[in-house]
Amino acid sequence: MLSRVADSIYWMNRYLERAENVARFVDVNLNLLLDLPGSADEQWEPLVQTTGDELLFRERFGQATQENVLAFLTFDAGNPNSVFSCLGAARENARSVRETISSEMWEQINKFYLMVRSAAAAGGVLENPHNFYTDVKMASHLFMGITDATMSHGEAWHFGRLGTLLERADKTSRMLDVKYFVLLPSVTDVGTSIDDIQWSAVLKSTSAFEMYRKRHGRLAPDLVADFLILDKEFPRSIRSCVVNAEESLHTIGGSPMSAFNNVAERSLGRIRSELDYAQIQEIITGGLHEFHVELRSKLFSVGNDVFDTFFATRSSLNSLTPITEC
Amino acid sequence: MVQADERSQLLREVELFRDIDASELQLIVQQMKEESYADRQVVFREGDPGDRLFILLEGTMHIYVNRENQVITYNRLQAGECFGEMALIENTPRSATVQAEAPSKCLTLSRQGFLDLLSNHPLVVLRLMRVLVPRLRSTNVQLQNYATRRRAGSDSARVAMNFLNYETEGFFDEMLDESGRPRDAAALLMQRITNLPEGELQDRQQAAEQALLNLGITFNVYGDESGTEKIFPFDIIPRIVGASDWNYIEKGLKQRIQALNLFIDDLYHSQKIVKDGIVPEHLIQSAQNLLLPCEGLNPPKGIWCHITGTDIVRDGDGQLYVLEDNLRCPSGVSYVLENRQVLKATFPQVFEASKVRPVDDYPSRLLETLQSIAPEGSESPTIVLLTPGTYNSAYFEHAFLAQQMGIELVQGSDLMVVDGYVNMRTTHGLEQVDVIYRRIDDDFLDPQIFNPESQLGVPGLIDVYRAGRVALANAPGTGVADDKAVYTYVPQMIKYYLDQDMILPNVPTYICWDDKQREHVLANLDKLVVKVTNESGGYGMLIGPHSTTKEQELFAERIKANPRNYIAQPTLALSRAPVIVDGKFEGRHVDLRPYILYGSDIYVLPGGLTRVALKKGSLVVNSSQGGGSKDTWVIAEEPQ
Repeated sequence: MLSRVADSIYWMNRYLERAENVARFVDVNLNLLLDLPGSADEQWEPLVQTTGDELLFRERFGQATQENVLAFLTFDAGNPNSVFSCLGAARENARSVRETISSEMWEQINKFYLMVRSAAAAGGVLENPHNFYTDVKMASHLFMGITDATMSHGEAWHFGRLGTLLERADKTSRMLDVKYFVLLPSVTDVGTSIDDIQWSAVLKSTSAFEMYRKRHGRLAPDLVADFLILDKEFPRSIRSCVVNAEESLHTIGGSPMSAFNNVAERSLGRIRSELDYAQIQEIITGGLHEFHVELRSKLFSVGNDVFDTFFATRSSLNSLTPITEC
Repeated sequence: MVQADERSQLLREVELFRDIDASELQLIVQQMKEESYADRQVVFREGDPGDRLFILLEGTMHIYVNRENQVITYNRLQAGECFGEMALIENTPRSATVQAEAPSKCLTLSRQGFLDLLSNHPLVVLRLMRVLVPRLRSTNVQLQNYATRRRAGSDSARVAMNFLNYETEGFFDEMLDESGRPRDAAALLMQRITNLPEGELQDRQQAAEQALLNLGITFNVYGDESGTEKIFPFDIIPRIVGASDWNYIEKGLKQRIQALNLFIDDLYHSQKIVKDGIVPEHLIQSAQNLLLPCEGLNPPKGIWCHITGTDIVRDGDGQLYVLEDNLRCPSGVSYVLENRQVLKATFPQVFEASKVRPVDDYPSRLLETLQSIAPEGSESPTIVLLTPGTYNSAYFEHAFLAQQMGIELVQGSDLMVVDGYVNMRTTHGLEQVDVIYRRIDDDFLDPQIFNPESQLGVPGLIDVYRAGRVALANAPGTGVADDKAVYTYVPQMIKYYLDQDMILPNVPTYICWDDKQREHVLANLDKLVVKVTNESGGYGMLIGPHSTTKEQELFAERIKANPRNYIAQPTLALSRAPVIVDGKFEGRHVDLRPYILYGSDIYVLPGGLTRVALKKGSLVVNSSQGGGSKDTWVIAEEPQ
């Protein structure tokens, strides 16, 4: 397939997944706040830090109040990673590959964009944000479902899946980091009911709560981290994302899983095998936050390797807006 | 479950069985089946096969038919009454729909059981007739009322929009004749739409617009930072073209395209038509779109213009004219296909009843045309559509056509010339391309040959084309025949190349470089339409009757300064068609752009894009100037 088309499909999926995850981010924080004592505004600071766009936020909004952070992450056209901007970018990418994706996919992405745009124009949405973020998540799920059911699972589909999974792995990692930052001021709460509530909020925001219960039962920080990082079966866990992304990468390249044919396969394969053999206790001992920062940096270079391997024959408009590293 | 005894007890109450004695009734009851229906459940529908008689034991049944989305109630039945007998007697499908209006119970008797009953019990026949006759009478009355309402349009509660106050204002109207009666081909459509309940038409218009918005068939409003997108305005009342009009148009277009193609081929070879003095040499030499690099080119099968979108208008007297040919990259066909899809959903029954000729096979026909021009030796040619990119106003169409044909949509940067062939860059390296349906202008195709600034094209493309290793549709150089001064000579071309008289005439045109004609033009600027010979899209035009003296003076200066660049035509009283404006119908001027494919033979898509000037009184139908579109229905045969 055309390199440009592969590039666009990859980014279309990444942007959609990013929009969905920004919605999840905000949702996790909103849920945490409900049960936290003290000043609510303090809790928005860490969210800005974990999104990786802190500098831009300072420049555009200054104070990390709930209102400012929600505006920045949701409707701010000046933030390339806001829900609104992500959908705009996803749609532009979709537009440039309309002949490759199914009409149903295009229609859904277009409706999704129109929904967010009219919410942005209507105003007042952020006063009661929960419903809006739920709509965003559902629209994204609908798109995924339509994609799986209406598009041939060939090369183009695998590029899309690769984009989705790399983005999701990055965002699950960031979501765990939100909890890490939120916990900082209240280490004494570890093991208390507040801690329980917070961990279940993190799980719910990754749609992982029920699946976690089935797997581990009781709530324990190390088990939650284990579930979201190392679980083999849960589709939002980092390991599951990486394993499936690797599978798509090898399907595209046509090489067996046991060998690598290009730099992208090598770098992703390395991350996958690290996760295969990792133990959650080791990760925690080494520092959860440090683990996440390093992991995201590795995932970031996988993205670059994918670009070099498949898309680099042309300049890409998408390469202008990488995820900023924190 | 109602017991058998109880059933015969109940049947005893039924008028139909009053004369049958208890033991007989017992036998009949044994043949019957009991059925229960929920509230609102449909027992059978109009058109279903009639296989059983029903006796209502409990509940209420509503008997009705649906005409143009209006429910006409024939009857409401209570317990003890029978229904479904008509279809059994006549052995025809059900003539009405029956729906429960409360939880109901029925006994049913098979057709055979019913016929046995009738032959064994003459008194039952009599009873049945007593039931039937008043029913038939009442049905007649209901239908008559409905027909009266429909003719008079007097039922203002239900019929909100009609043509009673519609003014043709002396223009030729595509839907109605001078006396306000519907034209034959449009009669059925008019009857159906005027009978829609109040607000229905507006609702359908809105639904259609929403469908187009969701499909993303939009264009960007330039200069609007918030990214406002608008749909290309669309009116749901289709424009009807009768079969005889269409046959005439089709014949005329085939003749015209054949001649124009021969003309273009001649121009880039020996220019016989110039040497024979039919077309003046200076006209050709000064034509802006004459491309010298195309001299001596031999496109496959000698076909240059594979895809054409000819603009046709109708004047006040009903005569059809060709306004311009658009032999380069005509756009708009995707609107034809999408409008049709939306209208099928909007007026499904009318559509079916109207015998509208299909347009949906256009993408297959286009693909066949493109396959037919592939360079020799390419067994299964790789065909691509070359677009300028997502910011082009016709991008939607490019993506749509590529998708419908299942071919790659490429941009210039996706293609490169390697070792004498055109290749596209894929994730697995380079892949050879055999046919390019290009939707970028000649000038941008190849920066090595044409505009060196072009970022949209492919360096080296024309060399590959000349060598016959890639096909282009349309061939470069066809634009020369789009020159409005060259257009004037199409009748002579048809005579010269085909030895035929022109079927579908040109609009009478004055060429401004001719001294006598120019004088006439300058003296009549307030009556004529003046056009620049090389502009399209409705730009650079003076519409005399709608212009100020100052504008006329400006054009007079321009014409004198460069007469070759201008032509003038009488201001046509363009025909009109009704559009929905603020809850009523108003006439607006329209044109018609049919699409013609020239591959192994010439095919004219039955229909085309009807563009409509939505501004009251405006004669400019271009989308850049406030124009919209309508679906175009070519009727397969005139209704009897």
